[in-house]
Amino acid sequence: MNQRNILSNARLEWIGTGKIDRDDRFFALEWPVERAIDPLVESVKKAGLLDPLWVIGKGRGQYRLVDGFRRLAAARVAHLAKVPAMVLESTVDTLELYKARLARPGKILSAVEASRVIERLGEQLDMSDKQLAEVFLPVLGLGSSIKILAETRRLDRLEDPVARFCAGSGVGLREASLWAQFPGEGQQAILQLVLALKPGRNLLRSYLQLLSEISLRESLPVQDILADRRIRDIVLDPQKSCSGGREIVHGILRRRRNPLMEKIEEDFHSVRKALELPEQVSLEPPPFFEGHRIKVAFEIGSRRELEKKALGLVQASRKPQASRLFSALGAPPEKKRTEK
Amino acid sequence: MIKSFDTLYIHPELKDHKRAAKLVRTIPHRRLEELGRLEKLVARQREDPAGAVRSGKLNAALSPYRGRMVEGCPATRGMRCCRYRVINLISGCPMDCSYCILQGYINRPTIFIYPELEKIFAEIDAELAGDWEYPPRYGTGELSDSLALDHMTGFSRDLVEFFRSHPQNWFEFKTKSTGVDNLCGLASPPPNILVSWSVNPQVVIDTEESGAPPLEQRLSAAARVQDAGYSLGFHFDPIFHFSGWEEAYYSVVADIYRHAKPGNVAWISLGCLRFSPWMAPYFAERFAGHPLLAGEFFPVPPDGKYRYPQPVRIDIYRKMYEWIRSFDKQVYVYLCMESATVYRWALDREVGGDWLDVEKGFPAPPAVNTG
Repeated sequence: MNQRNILSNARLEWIGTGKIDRDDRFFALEWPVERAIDPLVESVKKAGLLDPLWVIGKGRGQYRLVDGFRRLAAARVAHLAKVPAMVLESTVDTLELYKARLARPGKILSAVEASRVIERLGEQLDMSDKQLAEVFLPVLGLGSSIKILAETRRLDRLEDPVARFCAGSGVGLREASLWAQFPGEGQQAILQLVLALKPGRNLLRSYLQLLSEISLRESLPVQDILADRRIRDIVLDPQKSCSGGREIVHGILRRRRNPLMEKIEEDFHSVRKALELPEQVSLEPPPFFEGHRIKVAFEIGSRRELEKKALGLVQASRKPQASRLFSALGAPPEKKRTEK
Repeated sequence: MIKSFDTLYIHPELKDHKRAAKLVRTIPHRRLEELGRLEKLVARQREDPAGAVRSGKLNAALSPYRGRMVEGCPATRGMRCCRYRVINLISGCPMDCSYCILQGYINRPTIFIYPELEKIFAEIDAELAGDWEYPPRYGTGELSDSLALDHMTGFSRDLVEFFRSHPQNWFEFKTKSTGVDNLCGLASPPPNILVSWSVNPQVVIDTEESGAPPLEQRLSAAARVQDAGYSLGFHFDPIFHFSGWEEAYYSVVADIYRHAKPGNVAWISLGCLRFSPWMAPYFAERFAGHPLLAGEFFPVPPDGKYRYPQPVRIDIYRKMYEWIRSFDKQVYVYLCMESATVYRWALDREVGGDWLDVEKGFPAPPAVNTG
């Protein structure tokens, strides 16, 4: 049933705002409802409600609101006594109503909002997990698997300020679910980091994964990891957090996540530095330090330049530190060459 | 040790098969159903692959021979392999080790048991009639634990008897279990039968090898089969890197040689934990919160499997090799799924040119005592 069918038998009426049950949020999609309401209040004050609400009669002159939670909130702030509403037939199927509402322009739910809808439907419609996953998840644009349903449910562990942030910023299901796995204090500490650095979706996911893995391996709460002085300095300084701070924090977390690789990289770089290679000659280990070939690369513009760089490389190869170059890849110490 | 299955499925083709009928009697189960009923488990597996791994261990299915049950170990190109030949008598395992590749590798919703050993033995006879540069070694420990279900199937006795007539070929039971009663009950086992244990420090067993016996029990079982006349092997695979790994693994090496006499241990393999990228979701879903699985793994060439960095693996292998050598000067030590570079730098051994460079290091089975 599409929106036109749902509205085909509806009648337009002017209804007192007090007659619409403000506590009945069964059909609410947006959360929190007051989010970004101010511009709407201004518009309602100037022009009234242009788009009628959708309601269903509850008996005794009372109505259940189906669509228009933000509009009704704005109308109440603007002190409108009556609002236009399409009064729907009470026999319309709940799922069809949800479908029709989600199909309306501009109705894109955040993961947190979707999780709240699912939780409510599960409780009030007494549906099995399989039904919820197969019937409602696709309507919410989330696929249809039980696994996604479980991930969606994890979001009820989000602390209120974090949930509000995720809803307002459209944080994705995967990221919100990763965030929800931390205890409350850790969630709040991450919120401070995210508010300061404003990472994009991929970077946020990477922060959350790194923090989760560091916390697991070091048996440390995430707030203690984020108490690292270098991270605090960036979070507390708006200028630093804007100018590359989010990448610096990412680097700090990555290195802490992979201390063995960090040490390997440091060893290789210290040997490379000690070799004092000719200018613009690069020396690169194999990817992930796997294998036994080190890449030397340079460009030349003349024969003289070639000679200079080649001589520089010969000198570098004769330095005692050169014997440590392959140690970074795992080679045993070089045996001393015996002179013939 | 698993005591009973929930449902035992049987394929209609096996209803007159003698060994299958015997297995129905010897494998304890609550329900017996036709294999076609497995469909419902297949549907559940499609819906929730990770959840189906655990539930799949509660059931077993007797299935007919479907051709080619013997194959080479599915080695990665570019890595050196020991060329163990795998006999797939059973696929699936009742133990639930976090790192087990079978949880994503076997696309079956339950443990499959293939009772038609006579057809499998014919396949081995046929392939052994061909030319082999080195007599191949066989084993059943690739798609299952070789002995975890032996108290129900009794397959070990058939295998020992079959390989008694192939004295030039090793047969290896690879296990973590303590189910050695059938083997120990056999009089005068042939010298080409080896029983090997996968070992790890108890701290790893406690967290990562759910349902598997403790180290001490595995080593006691090893001592029993040694006394019964079998050769021994040990597999440090997978090795985990963690704070304190050196003390932990050294102590396992020392424990092995407290139970095993050096001359009786034919080989020991070493392999650090590695896993394909597609296993990561299984880890995340089934074993979230396991610190050892949150180690430093990188998708390294040539196969893109996640491994510890090469210098870390080399350090581990080098040290473990030294510890093993300090107890046993003869035992053949090899690496599982490692590159020629790692062999060279860790064990000071060249295996670059040829796969056979690893295989030819294995000792030949002891001569049959005819006196």
